[in-house]
Amino acid sequence: MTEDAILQGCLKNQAAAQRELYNRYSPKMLAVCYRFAHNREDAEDMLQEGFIKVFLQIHTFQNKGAFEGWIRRIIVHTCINNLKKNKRFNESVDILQASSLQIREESVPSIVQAKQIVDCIRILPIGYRTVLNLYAIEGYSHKEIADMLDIEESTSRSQYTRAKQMLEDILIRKNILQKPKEKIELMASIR
Amino acid sequence: MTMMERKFYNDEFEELIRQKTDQYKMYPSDKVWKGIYNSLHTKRRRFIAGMSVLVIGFLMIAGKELLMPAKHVAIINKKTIAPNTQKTTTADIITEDFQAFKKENLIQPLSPGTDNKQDINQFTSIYALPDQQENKIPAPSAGYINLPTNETVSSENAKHFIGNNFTEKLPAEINATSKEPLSNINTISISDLRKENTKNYNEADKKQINWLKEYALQQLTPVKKHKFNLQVYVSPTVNYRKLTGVDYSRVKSTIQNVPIALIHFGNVKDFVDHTPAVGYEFGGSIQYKLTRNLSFKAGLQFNYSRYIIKAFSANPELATITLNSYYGYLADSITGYTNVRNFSGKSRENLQNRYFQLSAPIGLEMRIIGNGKLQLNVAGTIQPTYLLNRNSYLLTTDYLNYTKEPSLFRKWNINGGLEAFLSYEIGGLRLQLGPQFRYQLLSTYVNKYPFKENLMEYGIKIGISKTIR
Repeated sequence: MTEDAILQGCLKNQAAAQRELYNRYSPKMLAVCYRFAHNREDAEDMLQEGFIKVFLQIHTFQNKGAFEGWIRRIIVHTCINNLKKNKRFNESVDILQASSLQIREESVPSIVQAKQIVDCIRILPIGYRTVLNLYAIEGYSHKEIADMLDIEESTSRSQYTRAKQMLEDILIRKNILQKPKEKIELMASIR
Repeated sequence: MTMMERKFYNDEFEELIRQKTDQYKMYPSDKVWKGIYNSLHTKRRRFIAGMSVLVIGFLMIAGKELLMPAKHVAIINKKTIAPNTQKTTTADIITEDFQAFKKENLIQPLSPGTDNKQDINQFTSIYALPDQQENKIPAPSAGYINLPTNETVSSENAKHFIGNNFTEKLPAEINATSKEPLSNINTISISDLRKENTKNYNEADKKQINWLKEYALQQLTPVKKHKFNLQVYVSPTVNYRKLTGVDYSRVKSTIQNVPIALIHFGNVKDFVDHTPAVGYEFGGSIQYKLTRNLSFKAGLQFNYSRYIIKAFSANPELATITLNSYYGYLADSITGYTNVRNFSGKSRENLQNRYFQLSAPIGLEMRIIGNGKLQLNVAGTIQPTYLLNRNSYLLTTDYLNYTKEPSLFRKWNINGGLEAFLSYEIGGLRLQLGPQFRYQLLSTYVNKYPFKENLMEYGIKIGISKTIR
């Protein structure tokens, strides 16, 4: 089914087209949700809520950008709203406390794969993780993040800096990355 | 590290994170799609809820009718239906009359413009017992006819007793304030009474007697022919399916519709390992007697059928269903993920294809032999059917996988049912037992799915029916 046919079918509320759209994008979008969520069940709840919004708002999609990008934005906003609603975001670890957070050695696998990076991100405190996800991976600006999370732009910047530092530490400890001086060659080999 | 090096490192680091996380995919469980589908298609859920309420309501009414006999039988009917030969004591009949009169409010005009109330009051002022008068019960009483209780008359005569045989004895004039017991009331002959009473009273008596006759006759109800039967039943069934499909070895021109997957040539039924399984059905129906031997029946029925699919579990992989394309320009395949293989995999797995259906059997039932308690009947029905679930497995068109694709299931279908049964009447209920066969006339799947599946059931039907009175 072409993307256009799927879009037309979804506009007519046809189950087959909706299923096709879901099959096509749900694996990637669940991974997005999983990076924000507390566990897999929460991630699936976010995914479900997000896709319902996608299908209900599909008439608002204008063929100006990528369909996947549009879906992804809805999913990310759903995740953020869900975190806010469940007050999980407010329970985020304070920056000072987070810097002394103990990392569980056994929770990080040794072979470098996409899953390992995601698992390392998920070790971060939820506040750090959210800002890192939004800025580094989803490509939102600090201003947009500040608006989404109801925080100051400067807070977003500082959270991101610390989140990145912490993630880097985790990756280095797990020998996934080497320290900056030895850096790029290893990273190239990872890819 | 210089500033430039640091920035380069940061950019690379972010790029690495972005790239790796983008590669990561996770496969959601079935319940996620189910939740989405249910949220988006609420009409179907409402329909199912409505039909469920209807079926439950129908079964409750049917159960109540069968288990609790009708209680509202008029007392007067018991008497009037009695045969002429039945002997009844006059005291019994008169007492029954009295009870009936008490229940049926007699203070109502017999015909428009007639003030019956006044006549009755006249009547009761003469003959009624004091306590009745105080309670204003305008009815004749056992007190004013004093006959030996061992004297018997026929029922038919008894109905006209007041009119025809009233000359026997009548009660003496009773003091309206007297509290004397009934046994102490003296009686006098009617001839004496006639002498004592005025002519007006006699006329009033006749009026009332005639009115009573008329009233009694009006209560005679004809015997009704009961044409409706209510039936509830349950059937354990053995279910299977007939599977047919395009044989690509014969129709090679359709290969172009299978762009991705490997094709196995041959009939689909040769590539699957399915076995029958046990299910059940239950429901209720109302039957209407068209003739002595033929009845029309209509009802509601719930069906649960299933069969076993022997397959293999595997890691998630793409599953492609190639669709029949009628117009040439529409999309001709559906792709999804599945972890079930048909031929080989990590481990053997027995899956079940379950179907929950709601149907409305409409048909005819005919008595072949038997007249009294034991009968042999045959019946045939057509059953418009609604499929309640659409999460059964479908075979991919390359025969390699099983996957779920609710959009390819037909919501509405038609089934045909045939049955023969022995019925036996016991205690006002008719029990029935016999074999039945049910066949789904249209494919389980929509036409654009290349394979066709027709479900079939063999069962033993156990039922109870009761005449609605």
